[in-house]
Amino acid sequence: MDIKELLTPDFAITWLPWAVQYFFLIGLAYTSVWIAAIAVLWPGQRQQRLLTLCGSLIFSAAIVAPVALLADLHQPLRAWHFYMQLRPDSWMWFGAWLLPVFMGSGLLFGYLLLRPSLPTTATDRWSQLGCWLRFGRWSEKPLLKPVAVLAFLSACSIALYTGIETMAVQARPLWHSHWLPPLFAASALLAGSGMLVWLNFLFKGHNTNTDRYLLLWLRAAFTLFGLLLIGWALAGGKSAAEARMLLSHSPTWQLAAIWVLSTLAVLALLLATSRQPHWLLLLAGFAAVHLAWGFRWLVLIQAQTDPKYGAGTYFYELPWGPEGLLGILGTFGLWLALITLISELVRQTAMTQEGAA
Amino acid sequence: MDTSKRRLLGQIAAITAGAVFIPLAEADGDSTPTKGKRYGMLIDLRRCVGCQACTVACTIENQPPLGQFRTTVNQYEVTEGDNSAFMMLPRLCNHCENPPCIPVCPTGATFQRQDGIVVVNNDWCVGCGYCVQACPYDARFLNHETNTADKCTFCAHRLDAGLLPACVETCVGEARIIGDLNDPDSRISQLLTQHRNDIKVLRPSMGTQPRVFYLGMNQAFAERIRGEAPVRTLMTASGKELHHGH
Ligand code: SF4
Ligand code: SF4
Repeated sequence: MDIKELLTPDFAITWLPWAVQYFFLIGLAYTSVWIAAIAVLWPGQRQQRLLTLCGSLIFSAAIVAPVALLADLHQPLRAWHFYMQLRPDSWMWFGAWLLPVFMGSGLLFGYLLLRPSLPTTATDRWSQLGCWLRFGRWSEKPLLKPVAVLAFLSACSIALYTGIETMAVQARPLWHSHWLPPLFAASALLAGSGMLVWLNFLFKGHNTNTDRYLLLWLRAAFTLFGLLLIGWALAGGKSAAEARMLLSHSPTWQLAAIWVLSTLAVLALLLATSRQPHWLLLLAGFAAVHLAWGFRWLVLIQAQTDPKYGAGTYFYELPWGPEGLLGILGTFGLWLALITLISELVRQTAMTQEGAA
Repeated sequence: MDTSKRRLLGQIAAITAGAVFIPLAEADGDSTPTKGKRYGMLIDLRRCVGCQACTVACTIENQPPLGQFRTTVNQYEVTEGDNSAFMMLPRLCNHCENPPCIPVCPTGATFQRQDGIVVVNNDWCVGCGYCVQACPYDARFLNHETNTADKCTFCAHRLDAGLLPACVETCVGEARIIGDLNDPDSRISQLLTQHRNDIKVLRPSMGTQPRVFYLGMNQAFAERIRGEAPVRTLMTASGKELHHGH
């Protein structure tokens, strides 16, 4: 018996590109907390350059991510409603509590990481602001380790809740898989280390040791992501079956698969090269960031075009306005402004360190 | 519908009868509270002509924005061999006994009334859309005008005033029957008992225990449709066609 749909309504997506921005930016924040915390806690790994870069990324991403999340609520001014009752069955409700804790611990950790790089003497306006942000003369050293532990745990809670919140939706077979949370986390780690490679290049005082260290992270994250993806494809149950079904008839999904596979192949080649010229590493960093963002786009936006009852796929066309392109560019713009500001504040110490070296 | 087509539908129903029929008892579950009213709807597909009068009546009664619907009638062409026939499938919120849209809600804005009707408190909803993702029927949407979750309410405001839902009131074939499932003498309860073996619900595998029942539905429509997609058109808010395709 053949069934042909003649008349069924189209269905607009509900989670907008803001959600992709949130998942992407919060991924940058929690993975840079991981990288920095491990560097702080692991004996012999502490490298001020890496810590400064992580601090900048944590600080900027952890501030912009919640803005994107708030924008994805269609009634952002009602966000306080989350806190007015107990909803222990809802992972989103847990997230509403875990996120502010992460903002607190992550931003404090980021600040402690950045503080040694803030200027000590005021020579111009920027350095004056930097001096002022040191909040007096005290040493952050004794605080660093306990705050690192706290921020690390809090970062884990964010990785956990963002993953499970999505995985919990049984009505979307593509999401309802245990492979999804670790895939989100591994791709976030890819994006985090890739972005740090770029910050190392863009912030004054490029350090090749930091590059070498970040390359290790990139390779580890890539291997993890690749293995998880293979695991999902082979043992992903209904989630993988749904993806195969979509691949069999939807040109958009076929294109997506080609994109994922070719990005993975390029990244594998770039990371496998043993003697990495700097530009190759930068390219790998870019590919990693690109893969992680695109993965979130596929999972969060494109998966919503998969009808729950009907055949085929729904339409989605990226709108120009705040609910589409403008929202994406706006969040990136805000993040860029913040990270530029931070880079200006830590610039002078990079210069003096360079002079001293 | 001409007689040959009607006969085909009958044959299709006969072929798939028996093992594939989900007995009402199974679709029903056992968690319906025995006290008080429990609203449910029975849709007799044999009587539905696909006129969309319910779609229009609902739109006028509940005023959803352009392009968003609380109920619609899906239309399908079913072919077997050389014969083909049309199949009409009215769709709405199932007011599930075990609704996955409720536990996910982070604010408690969506809830189930004592009489089983699942509703949204639009003054409390933050528009996070989590319930829309969780509903396995695409029965919910975020209303573009109120920016909160929206869906069929069985016209609770009309029921409370002693009226029938707009769709039931207007249905030309009297295909939609609403009533109290806990009252054994209600028309819906009697019809459900009478057609016990031919009652189906949508997507029983999701464990939602829908309280919208279908009479005369082929098993091929019970779970997700496997078939050819329609030509879907993407329109702007002003009704301008942007794009269409399969
Ligand atoms: S059909 Fe969807 S919206 Fe309606 S009660 Fe069931 S899960 Fe909730
Ligand atoms: S959109 Fe509204 S009703 Fe739905 S889960 Fe969010 S707050 Fe609850």
